[in-house]
Amino acid sequence: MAVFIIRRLLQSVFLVLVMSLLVFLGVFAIGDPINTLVPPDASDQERQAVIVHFGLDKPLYEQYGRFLANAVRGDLGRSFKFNESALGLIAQRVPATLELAFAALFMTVFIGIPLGLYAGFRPNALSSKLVMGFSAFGFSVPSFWLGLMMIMLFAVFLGWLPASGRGTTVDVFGVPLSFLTWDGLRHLLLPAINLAFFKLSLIIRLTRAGTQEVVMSDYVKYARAKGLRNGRIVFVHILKNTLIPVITVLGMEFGRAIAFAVVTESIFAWPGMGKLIIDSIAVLDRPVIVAYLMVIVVMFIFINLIVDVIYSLLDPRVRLEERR
Amino acid sequence: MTQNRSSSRFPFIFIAAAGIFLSFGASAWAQSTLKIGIATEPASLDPQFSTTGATQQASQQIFETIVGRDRNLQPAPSLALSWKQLDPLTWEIKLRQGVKFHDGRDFTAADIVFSVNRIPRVADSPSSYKRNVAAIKETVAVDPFTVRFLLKNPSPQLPLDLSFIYVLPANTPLDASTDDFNKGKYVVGTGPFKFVEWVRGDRLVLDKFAPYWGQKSSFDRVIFRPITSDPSRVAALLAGDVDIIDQVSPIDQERLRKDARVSLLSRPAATMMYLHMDSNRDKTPFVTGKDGAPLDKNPLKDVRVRKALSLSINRTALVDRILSGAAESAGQFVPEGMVGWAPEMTPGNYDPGMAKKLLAEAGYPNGFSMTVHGPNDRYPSDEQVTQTIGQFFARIGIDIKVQALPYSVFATAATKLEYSIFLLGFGNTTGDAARGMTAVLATFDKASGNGANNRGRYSNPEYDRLIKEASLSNDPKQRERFLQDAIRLAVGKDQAIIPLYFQTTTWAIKKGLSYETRMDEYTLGNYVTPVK
Repeated sequence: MAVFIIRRLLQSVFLVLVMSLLVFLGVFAIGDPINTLVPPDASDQERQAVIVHFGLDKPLYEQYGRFLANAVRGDLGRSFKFNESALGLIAQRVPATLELAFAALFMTVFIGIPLGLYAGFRPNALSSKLVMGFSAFGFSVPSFWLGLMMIMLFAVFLGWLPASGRGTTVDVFGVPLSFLTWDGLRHLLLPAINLAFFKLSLIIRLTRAGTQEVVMSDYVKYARAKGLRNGRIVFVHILKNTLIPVITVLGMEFGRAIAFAVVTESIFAWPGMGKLIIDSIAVLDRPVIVAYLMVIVVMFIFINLIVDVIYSLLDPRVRLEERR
Repeated sequence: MTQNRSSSRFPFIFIAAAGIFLSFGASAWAQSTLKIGIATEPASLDPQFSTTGATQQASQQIFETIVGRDRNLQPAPSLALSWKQLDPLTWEIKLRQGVKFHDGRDFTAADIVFSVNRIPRVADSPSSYKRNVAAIKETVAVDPFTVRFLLKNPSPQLPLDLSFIYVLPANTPLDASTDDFNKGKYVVGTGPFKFVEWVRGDRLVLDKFAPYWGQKSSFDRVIFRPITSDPSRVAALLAGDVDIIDQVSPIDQERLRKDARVSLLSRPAATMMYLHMDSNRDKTPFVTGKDGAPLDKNPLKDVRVRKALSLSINRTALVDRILSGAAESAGQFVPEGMVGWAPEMTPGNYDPGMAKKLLAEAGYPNGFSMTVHGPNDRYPSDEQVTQTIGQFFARIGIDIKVQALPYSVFATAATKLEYSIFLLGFGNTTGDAARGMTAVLATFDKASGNGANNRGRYSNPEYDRLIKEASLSNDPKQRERFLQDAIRLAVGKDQAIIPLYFQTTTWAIKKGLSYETRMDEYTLGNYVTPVK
């Protein structure tokens, strides 16, 4: 496995390099940040001074070269707008986003997989049909609409939960966490449900389909014939075999929850990375956009690596070394 | 104003118990908190870093400027009680006595000298305050409460410039960086609130500064919460998470007007929305004949065509229907109350018949084909406004295409003169028309920086002369007359731009509170008061 991991990491370096070039070109294609950064009534000298200061007068290859040289030293540039290190700005937002993503993942796994299993075992029961109906609903409802409806219902009409924000946080080893306080939990609940909703629906369907398939398989029939306990059949023979595709999707969905929680974060004014990136795109704060996308690329590479490792643990047939 | 929101749903006994508890609590430890939901958060806590509105809003709460700005953006006494020009190159200001910084130090002339001198040293700002000190050669403390500014060149606008200089205590290290400020270091001013905490993207917490000399806060604590999404900001207000929100969109105003829990406060703001036209080139990229063939000349170069376009727009309908009344029709650069406003320059008439006649006179009885461009994420309802304008033009026989783009893309192309006619806004943040009229309408000149926003390249030497006279005039009355004459020429006679409307800024506030609205759109915690 070590050889596999090392080879994958080497490939990753190449991938990151290609991505950085694409991201850089893309960000340049959008437009010139000078118009959004400089106040509309700035004189031409002021404008020129800013252009020169941020190196926007340099040709693209030179700006890219400088970016790479700094990136190797771990410096992804400074935000035009905030005059702070882009990586630092992102790092400030990571705990909030991770907390939200983990909360959503937690809901997805501990609600989605049991419901999917249940619906797979008893496909014709009314309760199973309800579960499937719920998952169809979850697929079709746009996230921004659901978020606003939940705010209107639970915050405005019922007044049970706050409408937005992160609430009280507690520092654990210097990392602010909100799920450890009652106020923080109340703030976390709605955005986490909103973010989990689609994933939950997806996982229910995947688990159900897998379960239905595996239940029919010979080894399950054999296990039953051998007189194994039902619990052992479900959790060892069925669940384990159903989980392989589910893990792949969970990995990707978790990555998406971190990288693209933009909608949920803006509706709930959740101070995470998604809100930072959308604000940065609006003013074309190039260093922050580039740094953010690079962080996301690296993150996806690691998630995929971890998913592959989990595969091999779940399915003894998968030998990582042999995959080329 | 935090209250126990859910109490109304509790059985009566709980309400009674809570009431008793609260009434004891209030005297013992409870402090009153005002929560403000804002659309944009500050870029920095360094009050000398960025001139953007959201940043100055925070600076206004913690710090004070040398000269103040009242609700109509006119210079008003603040840390400086009075100012006068001793000779064309010297200004003298008298300072308020007995003012304290948040750390207890006394405010004196040394703090002014330090603050003015620090501005050129603030690095890396895309919207710097440097231009506000550009005319100053030297700042001299004559005595602890008198300061003299020696200028490089005569500047009648100095008091206006001083109203943008936020004062820091002189013991702040000269190399204090914007980073230091953002971490909360050195955030010490003389303003109505003391800094407590800033969590970027989540909250800015400030406490009342009791010894403040001016309008004191009615609350012990004020929390600014950035909520970017418009409907979420409204929901936060309705849910009681915040007490007042800014920038209520036209769509939400309809609904909130019917809601008994909140009241709406509106005020014409300083942003003038206008159509800019490619009026100086012989060829323009987005106008063709109706058959798509290029025209031999640019119709927008003809003043009759520009007048016809202005006449074809029903501004009243635009404001009422598209903006739900959240604007005021415009016929010139600044709204009433600002320097440069000319009384007889009323919003343009709606007269499609006359418009068609003018088009025919100009040689286009059957119209032509044109694309109108506009942003879709910059101003309230900007995309709908652009589309509506297109429909008005279509009614006088012009074939219209409308294209709305993200501002970042749009502004890049507009600045490169890639459009023919497009929607833009200009924020008159100085309470005076001169800066905007120089940027948008003066002849484009890279060296002098005039016409930096003149994306239509209008050029009239007489207009340039009037603007120049205004900028050099020491007599405020005379200066105002020059500016009025200039706008009569550029809009009244030449129709270089088509002013559409002045945006109205709207706040929504919980019933039981009131706010003194401002033209600069800031929401200042110390001006929110309980209604008696």
